[in-house]
Amino acid sequence: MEALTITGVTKGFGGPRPALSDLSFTLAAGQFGVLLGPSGAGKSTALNVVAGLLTPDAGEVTLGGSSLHDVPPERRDIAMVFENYALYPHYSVRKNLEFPLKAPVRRGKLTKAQIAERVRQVADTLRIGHLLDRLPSQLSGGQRQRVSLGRALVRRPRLLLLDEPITHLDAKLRHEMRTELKRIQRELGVTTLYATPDQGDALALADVVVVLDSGRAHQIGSAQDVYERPADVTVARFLGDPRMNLLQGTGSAGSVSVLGTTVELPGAPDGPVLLGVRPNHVRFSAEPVDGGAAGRVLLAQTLGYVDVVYVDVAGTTVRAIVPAGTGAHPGTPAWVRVPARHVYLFEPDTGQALRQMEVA
Amino acid sequence: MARVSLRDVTKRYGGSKADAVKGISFDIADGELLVILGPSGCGKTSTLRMIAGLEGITSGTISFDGRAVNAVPPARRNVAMAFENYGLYEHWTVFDNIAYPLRLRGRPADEIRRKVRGVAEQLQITDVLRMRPGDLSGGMRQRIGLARALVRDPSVFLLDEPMSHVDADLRNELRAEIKRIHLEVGSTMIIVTHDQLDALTMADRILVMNEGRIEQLDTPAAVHERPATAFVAGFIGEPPMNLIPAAPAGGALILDGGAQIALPPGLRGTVPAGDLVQVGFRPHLVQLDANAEDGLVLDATVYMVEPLGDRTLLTARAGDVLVKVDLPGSHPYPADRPVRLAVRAADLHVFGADGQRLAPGSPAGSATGTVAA
Amino acid sequence: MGAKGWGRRSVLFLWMLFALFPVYWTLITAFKQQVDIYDGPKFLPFVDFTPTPQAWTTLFGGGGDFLGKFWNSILFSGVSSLLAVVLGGFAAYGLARYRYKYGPYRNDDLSFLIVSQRIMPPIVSVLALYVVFVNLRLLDTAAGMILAYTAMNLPLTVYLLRTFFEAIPVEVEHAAALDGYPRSQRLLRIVFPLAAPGLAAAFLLSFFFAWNDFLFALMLTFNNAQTLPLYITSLNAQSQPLWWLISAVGLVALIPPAIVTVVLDRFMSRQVLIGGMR
Repeated sequence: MEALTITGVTKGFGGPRPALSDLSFTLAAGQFGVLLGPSGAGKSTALNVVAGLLTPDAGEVTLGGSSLHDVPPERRDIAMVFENYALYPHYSVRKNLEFPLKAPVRRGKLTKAQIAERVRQVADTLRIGHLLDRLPSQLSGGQRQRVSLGRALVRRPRLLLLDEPITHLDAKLRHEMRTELKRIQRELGVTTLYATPDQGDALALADVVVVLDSGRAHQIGSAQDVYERPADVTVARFLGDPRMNLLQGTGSAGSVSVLGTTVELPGAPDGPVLLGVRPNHVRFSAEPVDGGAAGRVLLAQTLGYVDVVYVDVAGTTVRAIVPAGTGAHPGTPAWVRVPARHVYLFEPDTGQALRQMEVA
Repeated sequence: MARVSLRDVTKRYGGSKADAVKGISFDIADGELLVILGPSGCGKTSTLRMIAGLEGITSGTISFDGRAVNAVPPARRNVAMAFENYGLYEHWTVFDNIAYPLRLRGRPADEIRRKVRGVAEQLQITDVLRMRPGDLSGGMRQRIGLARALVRDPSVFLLDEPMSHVDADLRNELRAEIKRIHLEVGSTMIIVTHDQLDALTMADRILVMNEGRIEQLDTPAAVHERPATAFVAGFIGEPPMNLIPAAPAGGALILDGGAQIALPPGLRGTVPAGDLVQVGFRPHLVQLDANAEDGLVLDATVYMVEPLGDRTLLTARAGDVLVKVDLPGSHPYPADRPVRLAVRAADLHVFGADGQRLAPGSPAGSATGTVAA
Repeated sequence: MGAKGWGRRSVLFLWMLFALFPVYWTLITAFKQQVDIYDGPKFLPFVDFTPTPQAWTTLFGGGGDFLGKFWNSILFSGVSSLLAVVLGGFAAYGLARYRYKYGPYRNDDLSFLIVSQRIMPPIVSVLALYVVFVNLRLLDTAAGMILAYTAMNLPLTVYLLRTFFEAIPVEVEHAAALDGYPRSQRLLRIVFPLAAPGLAAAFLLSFFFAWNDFLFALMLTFNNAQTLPLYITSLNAQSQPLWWLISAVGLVALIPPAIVTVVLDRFMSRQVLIGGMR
């Protein structure tokens, strides 16, 4: 259990802009941090800098109060789970799990019996005990994922790094692993940093979310913070699935006109604004409604438990969530209404948040 | 535009002892968007490649509009295929990439210009026609790949894992876009994917495959609400359906984890004692701390809470059984808090020992007893 | 087994006879006398002619320098191939894992420069090498021959091994680093075992080249450092070729490459076992 502090870390690879610029955040001991961002946001770069696999151009990483500057990766006692699992293909599962315990840096610290006991424990926790004598090539994706997690946990590292560990699993396994990962992290209390492009992972797992885009941190806060109070349009667009509707509006005298309707928003600035509303807050109706903007259904998709309807209102597409089975047919008329209490406002040029949703 | 029919189509690869595709038959209507869904190795890509003609058919018949095409080479089937990795020529402009299939057929220059313009407008890529694919984003490149396939007016349009190179946050937009394009051009479209959300959001009908066989062929809503097999139930949904092993005892099913439900009347006497069946229910149809008169009531404890913004995913534990519950709103329950889960009888599904659906989805109910976990 | 299977087998059997005939012919020739060779073709020992061990006693007992040449061949081929694989392995690893920049040259350019050394026909380089060897007093020495073969084989091993190292996901090495293994240990425990098929293939190709070389040996040796191919031609250089001796030497010369191939082939097929690295 160690606190992780990252201060002003910048790293470039010779491109026009650095892969990571001036990143700073802190994870308290035992916290679960998530780096959330699209591919190319700098998530892997950040993990590699913390692991010592990349040397930052500027900035510092400290773990448990001491700087990791000039400490090579093998001496950091940081474990990492890779997106492609990176198991040692020529070793059995057992040897993969023993490998970190037999490293030169830990030589003599554990007896043979203790190593066997540790391997047994971690194999039990991850339910891979029956796979110990197999080679990685004989395992399914989900099993490889567990072995790779086991290899990271078996030596009780000071810090656990996870680089998109469950992205390539199917829906059922992904959910099982996510739950298990959170449970194990709580039990072991190991400080964890997890990189993912999936906002669901971030919300479900994180104590601290760092929203990254183009190498820059757009917001750092609790899962609830970044979801309910996005600092800018990038964060708003990234959290929530299906993503938030962002509509051009014009503010005047405490109200915003959008989609040809007027939304009463006391305190809204005059002039052009970007109005954000999540699809689950948009009121959809197949009948004319008071204050609703008239449009036509473009298409309806089912997500299983709910449907998403895409409505075209004078050239603007609005997404609305409706109960499963109530999605209308393409081409039929529809009305959408934006409820004032669920509206976000953003400055149209900078994307900065102007008004947060009232939290009921 | 074409109707596509497969009859007892089998594929076996040289050197392999098992069939990759085991005698499957289905029909795709003219203008339909069919998604073939399944885990890796289920035979979905082999099926697609046989339809395209890139792969020989071991036995069976594939026909377009009633005419067998087994012996017709791919170039003469009038199918277009957009590959997983785009297959764009990096050193050509976007225009030249899209125009390529037409130039290959020696079409006149003004027709090429007209058709490329037309398809570019449909896909909203007119602005980038002069650029090179290398300078464009993944989503944009995907559209160019689609445009190149569409420009030929193919009778069947095949897409192999179209989302796999697209960022998570762009996927839903691209899904909507492919569906919109399909509505607009109306050609028969077959999409192969391993992602159940791709299938639910795009398909007119979904063909679920597993181990070379067809598990189910139906609309997205039907596949989600009335899965034909336990495999389909456990593969589809975000998160997928909860499946709990259960043993029949008299007129009831005793579930692992302690609860029991009444056997639906239609099933009484049909499930041999000693057979292991599975009882399934969707996470979003579980009610918390409620009672279901004639359904399932399961006493459990909170195992894990995963907040998802406006929803909460709760994992509850009863004995060795973990159950996912999808709740609207925020529920910051502490671990190990006792919860009572209730599912209406109409929302319960029963699958037999062979994985086939037994219950019609509404076990019209008699009284149900509960046993504490 | 159906008719198809038998048909296939008999075709393969005929092909095998065809392929093995030269070996058979060499084998029986090694037991023939002069008269059996020049008196029309004779195919069956004990029927067409009476075998004699004369060639073998000459080689191993007759005080000739056959064993010395044999040893030279093994030494030069073995040591130079080992050097080419080890040195080439380090160079290839560097080219696969680090980014170099020497003036305008990047990794791909360097790689091309290295392999381009083999564009020149050996006869061109061997003349220059002769002059160098004279000045460095390396002519007709074991060190000189090992050096020459190593230099000739290095471009090939670098080029070949680079692709093998590139095929190993860098994350596997990163994992070993984080697991607590310093660089030398990572190379030893992870990288080299995973590149074993490539290392074996590179060794094999180098060994064959050195073992079968005639040109270098002809130009750079005259007595002490002569190798088997040269020895064979010396047997040929009398008024009449000594076919029985040539055949016997040829048979012995078959053995080391065959052993090396059989041993290394096991490593090469390990690729199948490993699989699933990505």
